Amino acid sequence: MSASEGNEAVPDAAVTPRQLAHRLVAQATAGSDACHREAPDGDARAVHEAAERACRALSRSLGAAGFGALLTRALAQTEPDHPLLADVRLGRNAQQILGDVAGIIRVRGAPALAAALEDLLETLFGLLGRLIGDDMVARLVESSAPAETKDDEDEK
Amino acid sequence: MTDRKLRAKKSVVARVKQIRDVETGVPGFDAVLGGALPEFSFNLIAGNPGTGKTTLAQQIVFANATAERPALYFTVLGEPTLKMLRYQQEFSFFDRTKVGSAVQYVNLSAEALEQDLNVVLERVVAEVERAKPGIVVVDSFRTFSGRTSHATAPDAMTMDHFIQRLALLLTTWEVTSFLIGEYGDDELRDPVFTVADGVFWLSQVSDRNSVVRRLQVIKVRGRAPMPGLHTYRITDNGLQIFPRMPEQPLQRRPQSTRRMTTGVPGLDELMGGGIPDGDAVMLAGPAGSGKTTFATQFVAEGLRLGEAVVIVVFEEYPEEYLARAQARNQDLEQSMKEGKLELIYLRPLDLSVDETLAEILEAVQQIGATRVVIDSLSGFEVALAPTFREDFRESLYRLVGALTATGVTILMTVEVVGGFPDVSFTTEKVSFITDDIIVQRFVEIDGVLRAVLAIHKMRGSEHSHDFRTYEISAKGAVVGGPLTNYHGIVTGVPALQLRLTPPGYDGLTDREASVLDTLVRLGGASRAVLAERVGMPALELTTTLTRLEAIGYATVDGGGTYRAVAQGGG
Repeated sequence: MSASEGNEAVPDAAVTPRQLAHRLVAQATAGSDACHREAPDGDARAVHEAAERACRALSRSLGAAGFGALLTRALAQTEPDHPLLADVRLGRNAQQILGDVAGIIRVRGAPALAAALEDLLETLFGLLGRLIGDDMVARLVESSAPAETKDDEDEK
Repeated sequence: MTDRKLRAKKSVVARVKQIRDVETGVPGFDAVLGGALPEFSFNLIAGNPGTGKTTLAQQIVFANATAERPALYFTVLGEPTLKMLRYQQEFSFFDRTKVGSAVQYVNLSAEALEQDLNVVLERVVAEVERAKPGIVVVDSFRTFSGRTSHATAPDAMTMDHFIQRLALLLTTWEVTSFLIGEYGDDELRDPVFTVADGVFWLSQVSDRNSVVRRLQVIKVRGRAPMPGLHTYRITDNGLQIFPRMPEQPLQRRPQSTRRMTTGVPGLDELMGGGIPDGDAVMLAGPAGSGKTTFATQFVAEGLRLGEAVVIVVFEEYPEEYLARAQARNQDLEQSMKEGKLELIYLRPLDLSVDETLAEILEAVQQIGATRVVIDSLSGFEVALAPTFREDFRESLYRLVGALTATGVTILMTVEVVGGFPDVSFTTEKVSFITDDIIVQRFVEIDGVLRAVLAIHKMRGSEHSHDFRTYEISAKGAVVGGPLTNYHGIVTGVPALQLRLTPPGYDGLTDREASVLDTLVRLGGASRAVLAERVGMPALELTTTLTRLEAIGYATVDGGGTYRAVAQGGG
């Protein structure tokens, strides 16, 4: 994607963390392919991918350490409402920050995971928004086009 | 110069101009750089922590980044990106709408932790190829050199090699780049200084209770930067650099025939019709002598004539200054609203002369001022950072030189300490830079404190040498008559010098009149007493008394006592 293409996704006005999280989820589910949609856990997987993308974008800008600190706190805050998040194992590379969620879907069900991830994103965006502003969070999340990193190459 | 040499010179000039400028967007920086940054240059911003390196880079980034040619801002292990974004957005230059698109932040800490510069370079290449940026910043570059010294891989890239490759990579990708690093003064031999096209050194020095920040352009290829240390300030708007005005002889312009009226009744006559246009005038007087009143009238007069005026105050708050003028029916506030008057208030105690000058020059140019009042030099001296205060003469020399070069007429007040004859301007060391000096002082006459003034100096212009009294009332200052009947004014306690004026003394010389005056005052006196009082040699006194007797102005009795003879009226 070129820089100018990336700009088209940049939001013009500030959105709330809730709106941003919901928008990402809605875009993910609407954009998931037919194969995904037909699968019983299709939406949950699409939401998971959207969350991964958002996490990668933020990690790319903020660095793994900075982003990791935020994500840890967001998980801690969201977990009381969504105990299944206790099973989320943070990934070991930049491409899979939230780790594999297949086991969670199997045990807890796809709808519960999708709801938990959406709330997690909202909490994460809210935390970051309080530090740098909601509009800037949206810009970082929605305009980023990460290049391949060292971790990506390792993964290959 | 031969034609061939001229052609060669022209071709060099043409070649230099082919390098496009990148304006930094940092006030004052382009002037220091000798115009602007050369496009695609590889630059180093160096200095100690807290000097504003990141802020300077961010300012340049936001001034230049566009969606078509974005800026890539690589952060490494220094200031966390989260904190940088949080705090940098407080600056007015930080355009939030550019974040993520025109300005893209990329964190390289993972690559830096690999301790292999090949990995870092690969990531930089990937990001540059993807974003095709116009500007690249690596903040802080120093964290690489600190970590890679521990690299153990046999094919690990050395720092020298990394710098070379990075510089070439960014230049060939047509990127104007900035590396940011903490460097000490003893590290100028680091290879990056050799490779870099531009090296900008930021420093801050604390002296007593003040901190002075300075920028030095150590080098910038293809440009002729201003030498020296340039002070800068970090405000809500980011860095503002105050280019150091080079010391230059005061440019004395030919004496103008135009006179600027002072607005103080009676003063213009003493000055041969007013202050010569373009002069620098010093008004020196003790505390409470009305210096500010005179200055305010000078301002009001300019405004009355439709001129624009700049006032620089150091000791009084602007509100107080305006209120005081208002009390004398001078509505300066209205003039400010109309854009004819700019009131600059400077009182930070860590000023540099260049900062002051920049403020004044900007105001002068903004409103097209013809008059500038600096009230007062004493306050200005105190407002300067100690390091500049120590060399106040040089500071003022440059300030006045630069201001007079613009053609404005400057009135500077200064408080004097001590009394005549040892009157000493706090700025006696700088009085040489002024064209004209008006001296005020207090004297005691008949038990009453009176204010007097005199024109001490007017360069190349006739002026009165009289001491004049002046009064300051609710309506302002008014200069009165001369103190011609007093002597010893400079002592502060002048004595009345009685003199019978013509026609009663028709035909008398000054010496004869002086003897007659003394006789009048004493009522009668012996020759010995008279000699002592008038300080006249005996022979001259005898001759004088003989003549006074002969023409009927004096008599002598048998006891040798001389008396004045009353002259008939008419």
